[in-house]
Amino acid sequence: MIDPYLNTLLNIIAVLAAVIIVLLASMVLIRLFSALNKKKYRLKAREWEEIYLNYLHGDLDLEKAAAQMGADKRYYWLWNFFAPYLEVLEGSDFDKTKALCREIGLIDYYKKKLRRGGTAGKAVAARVLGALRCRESVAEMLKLLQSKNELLVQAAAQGLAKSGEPGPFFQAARALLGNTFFTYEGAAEILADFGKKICPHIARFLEDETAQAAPGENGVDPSAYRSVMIDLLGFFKYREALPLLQKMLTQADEETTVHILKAFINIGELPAELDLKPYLEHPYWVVRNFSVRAWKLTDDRQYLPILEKLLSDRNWWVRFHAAEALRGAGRPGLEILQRKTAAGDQAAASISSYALSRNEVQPQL
Amino acid sequence: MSTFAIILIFYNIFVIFYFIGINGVYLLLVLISYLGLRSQRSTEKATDRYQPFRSEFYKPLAVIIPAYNEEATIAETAYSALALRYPEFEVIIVNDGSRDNTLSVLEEKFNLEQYARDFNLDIPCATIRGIYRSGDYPNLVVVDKENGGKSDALNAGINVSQFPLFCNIDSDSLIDADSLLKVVDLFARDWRIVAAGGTIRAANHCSIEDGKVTQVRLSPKFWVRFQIVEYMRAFLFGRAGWSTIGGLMILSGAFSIYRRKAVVETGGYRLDTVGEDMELVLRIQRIMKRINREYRVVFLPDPVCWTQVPESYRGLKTQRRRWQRGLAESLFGNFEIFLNPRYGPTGMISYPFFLFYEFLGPVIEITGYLVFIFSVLTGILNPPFVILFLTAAILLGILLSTSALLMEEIYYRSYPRLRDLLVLFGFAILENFFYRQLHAWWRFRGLIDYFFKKRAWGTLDRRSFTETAKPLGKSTR
Amino acid sequence: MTDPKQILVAEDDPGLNRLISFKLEKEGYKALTAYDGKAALKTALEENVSAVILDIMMPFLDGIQVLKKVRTAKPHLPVIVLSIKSRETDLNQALELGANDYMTKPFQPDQLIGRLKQVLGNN
Repeated sequence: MIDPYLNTLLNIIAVLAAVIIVLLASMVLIRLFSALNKKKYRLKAREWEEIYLNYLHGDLDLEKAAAQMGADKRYYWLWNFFAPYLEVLEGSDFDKTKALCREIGLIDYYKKKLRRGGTAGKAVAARVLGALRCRESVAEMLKLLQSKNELLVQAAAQGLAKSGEPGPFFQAARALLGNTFFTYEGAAEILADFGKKICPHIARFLEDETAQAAPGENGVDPSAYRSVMIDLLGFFKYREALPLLQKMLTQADEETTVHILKAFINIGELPAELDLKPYLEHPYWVVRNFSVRAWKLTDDRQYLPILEKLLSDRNWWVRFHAAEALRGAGRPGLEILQRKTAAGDQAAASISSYALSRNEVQPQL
Repeated sequence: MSTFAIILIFYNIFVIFYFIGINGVYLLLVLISYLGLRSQRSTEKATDRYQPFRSEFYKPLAVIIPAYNEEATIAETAYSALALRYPEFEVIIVNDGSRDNTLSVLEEKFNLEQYARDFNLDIPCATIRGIYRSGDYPNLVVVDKENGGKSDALNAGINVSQFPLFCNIDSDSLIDADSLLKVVDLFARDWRIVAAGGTIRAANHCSIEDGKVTQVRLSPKFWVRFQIVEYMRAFLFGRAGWSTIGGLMILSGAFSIYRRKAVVETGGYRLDTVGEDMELVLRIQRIMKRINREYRVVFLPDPVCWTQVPESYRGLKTQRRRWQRGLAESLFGNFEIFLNPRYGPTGMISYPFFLFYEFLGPVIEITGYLVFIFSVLTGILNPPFVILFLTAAILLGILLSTSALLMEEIYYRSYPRLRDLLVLFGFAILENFFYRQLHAWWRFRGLIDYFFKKRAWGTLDRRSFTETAKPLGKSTR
Repeated sequence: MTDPKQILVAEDDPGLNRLISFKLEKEGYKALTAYDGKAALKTALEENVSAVILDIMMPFLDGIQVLKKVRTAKPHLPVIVLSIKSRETDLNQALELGANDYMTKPFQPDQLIGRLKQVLGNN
């Protein structure tokens, strides 16, 4: 009765033993091989370094340098070698490096990979071509934005951002918000690579009323779309957008209001004659929070009574920033805080004591 | 044939199927994690990750370190935390009423002074006696409170910091400097994430300087080596696999990150369990479902957290008994997840798996051995069959461990010497000959502790707090 | 002929460090390298350096800390600080602490050398 089972078991045991041996052997081989590989890369990189540095300095011409470096066509290694330099150099040094990469054949190699590679290959190619600021690849990367694969969308958006063309910005933003689960911060971080030069484009877009109201493509929430763009205006401290942002504030929803206030804070300036009162008393705590922080940009004494009230706000952050604002408001602010530490409201007293105790150290929580 | 014999036969068959089931799932997990790790690697190669401080778009974060009687290691841990690279964060060490010199060590090394720090009591916790800031490190805060256990200390830390994210670190763990950037990167890419965890590695016998692991070494200690193999299995294909299919249920308390809001909404860590981190993760998922919000719990496979694992038989035994108890408490405290399609892969796959295989596992294993032996003695099973079956079982165990070692080699290569890997392979073999059985017995005792504890709720409770409070830093893996 | 001036290049990216050192040597200076804050501080204090090119983002001890300590020991040692563009606060802090000049990445190494010469000339 048991025999066929015994046989099966024996077979299973044989298979298992074989697999284990294969895995073990792979482990050993991978270890040895990669150690060897690493050593070879280090030697190569050192070789390349000499050639590259001499080329940059002008002691070696383009053709010779490219011939020496591109001899064995190890493109992935070459990319790893050049990547940190591409990140850190600009101007003529960057252009020289790019010319060298082109002459070696690196750019062509990755352009091909972008068109015909697998997912991983395309993603790396997008990154490489982006770092090399290859405008010719923009069209291909735009196509990738529509991919169902999140990694490709992200890689394409990143590549487009670095490539230097402001045009693809809006598509990249839409793709990041619509085809991935990125947060505002995540999307803004990638889009920030487009550089300050997109700010006028963003401003123009936001000014166009119809564009604002239009439903987003890919099911992108237009409010999210707008918010990221406003975040970028703030990140680049684009002062010229202040009047536009002030105008938008009058019709903005909660989310947009928050981002506009954040932008004011980042830019470091409030539009003239902006009445903060409705925002300081707004029902949504995040708006109150950011408007208190925005108040610090004006130091306008007329709001002090409101700030004093906010020391008793329901939300801890609002209380905290109100106390901080008062702490930075010179004598009148400090007097209010002192008074509040002795008054009846527990929350206000506590936060006021805290703020006063922070006077002795650097502004950290 | 007597009914007894029939029962035995059926039980044997049950054990065999059980065995096939558990290993089938493990093999599947190996495959899934391999794919998951590969895809993670592609992401790394393709994206500009972790450019330190490049991002202005970060969320500030609090690193909370509960400490009880940790005078020996607390300074090192604090240095490690302060060395983390992140744009804006604060380190909150919660002294949970230590009876040794933990607080004085901190006072002396970090130039502490008390101040009037305000906070919201969002989660009830034991009385906070005082809050101190450091004159030398502006972002270090020490909270001194009355003893309440690890969960309570964590809740106190959550109260004190109002930052939107917090990171829970054990008081004897060292965290890689870039780990916060790596983990928060996950949060930035996916708004659904409410919690994330990292991989734990054994720091025993590694060189540590200024709170950083500078040289990884394979510990010569017998019990540590078994644990290293276990951890590789547990993290490299256990959690990586579960995370890939969206069914991750456990995060290590040694290094885990949460959205503060989500945790406050659940009411914070529960005080009456030793598996507080697993329990919290499960409860967060239930709350998210209840308020109908999409969520994800993810795992970061990069080895970022180094911790001292027990080196002695006794220490290990106590830990594993506690873990099994914690597992039981977490599972039964959140039973509504079981086979509940609303919870997706967690409800339909991971939770049932953990219930039948991790929770009941020791029981089946131990009774399985006994029944096997008994069956052989009574002639129901013949010895060749049993021997072959056990051989196959052992080989399967070795196979799983070897897969983990291979994945470790492909993706992380933490151990610099090839010899170390071969030694670990040796232990992967040795493991099956007594360590597994011993481990099953400890877990079995842990289950008994759980059931026994349930009956004598009052007194045992108090004692168990102290028991968990003693090596407070350690937590459920 | 006078000994070449020694310039400390404190930068954790080895490629960039080598690039700057290379350019310095072509200009007739001798480059001393450090890849982390601790090593940078040690070299700055113990060796006879004429100037320091200091990256802010370094492991073990960041540039700001190094700058503070160097300024206490050698208040007149010229220091040029390197940083990434978005970290304005770091730059302001560095200038307040007494850095002579700064450059933000990405940059052109030749410009850096130019600034260095200016700063050395002023001494």
